[in-house]
Amino acid sequence: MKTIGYLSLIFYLLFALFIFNLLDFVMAIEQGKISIEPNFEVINNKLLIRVNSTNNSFHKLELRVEVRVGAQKKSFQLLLNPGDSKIDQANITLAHDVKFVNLTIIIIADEILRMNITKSLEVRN
Amino acid sequence: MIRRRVLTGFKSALLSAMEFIFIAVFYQMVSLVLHEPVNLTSLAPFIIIGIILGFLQGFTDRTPFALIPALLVFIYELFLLVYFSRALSGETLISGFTVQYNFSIVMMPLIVAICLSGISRIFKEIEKLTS
Repeated sequence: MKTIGYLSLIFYLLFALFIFNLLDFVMAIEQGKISIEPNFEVINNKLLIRVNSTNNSFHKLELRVEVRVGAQKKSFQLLLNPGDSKIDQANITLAHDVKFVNLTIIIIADEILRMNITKSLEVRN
Repeated sequence: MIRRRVLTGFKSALLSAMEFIFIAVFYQMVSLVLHEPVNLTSLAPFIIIGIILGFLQGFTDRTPFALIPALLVFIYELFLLVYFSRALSGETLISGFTVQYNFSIVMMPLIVAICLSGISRIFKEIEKLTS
């Protein structure tokens, strides 16, 4: 019984660690240590999506960027270690009748904390 | 005899109060960062129920009824866990972007810890009853 008691204490401590990790991650976003800036440009009927990301926190981040235009889908992945700053881009040829582009950025911090950022953008040719 | 039981009950209630205040503080901290601060008075009923259960656990110690409060505390802790995990998921709007988050996975170690401590407490009571 004592062993189970000690084991549960270890899990309580692990939980406290997880909570502090989560709070630190949210604070890092609030303080601007983690910044993700998506930029869009339409050039010659082509949509250029550029994601500029900076990670000045102690967390390891994985960004999955997904762009959907009608049936078309483009995606890319960014891995950000502490102190990293990366830019990646994708381009999609737009059909004439396209009016909206859906952007989804999935952020996975330390392989456990997951966030989804979505936005529907209006395209003006 | 009754006086000793009441004293043990109060001691157990105090420990229970500390445990539930600790959980409430964690809940408040997480809510403060992710949403908005929770009114602490809204958490008072949860703490009071926890204290009453703690008192019952101490009061019924070394009696054939000791298993009932131990089981109740275990169930109540699991219920609180599910209730509080709501604070870890949600949706917000930041500069036109819809941000959805679900951090309830951080509750996993707490579920395991509560199950282990609950099981150990229940077995301890069974051992006391059978010995």
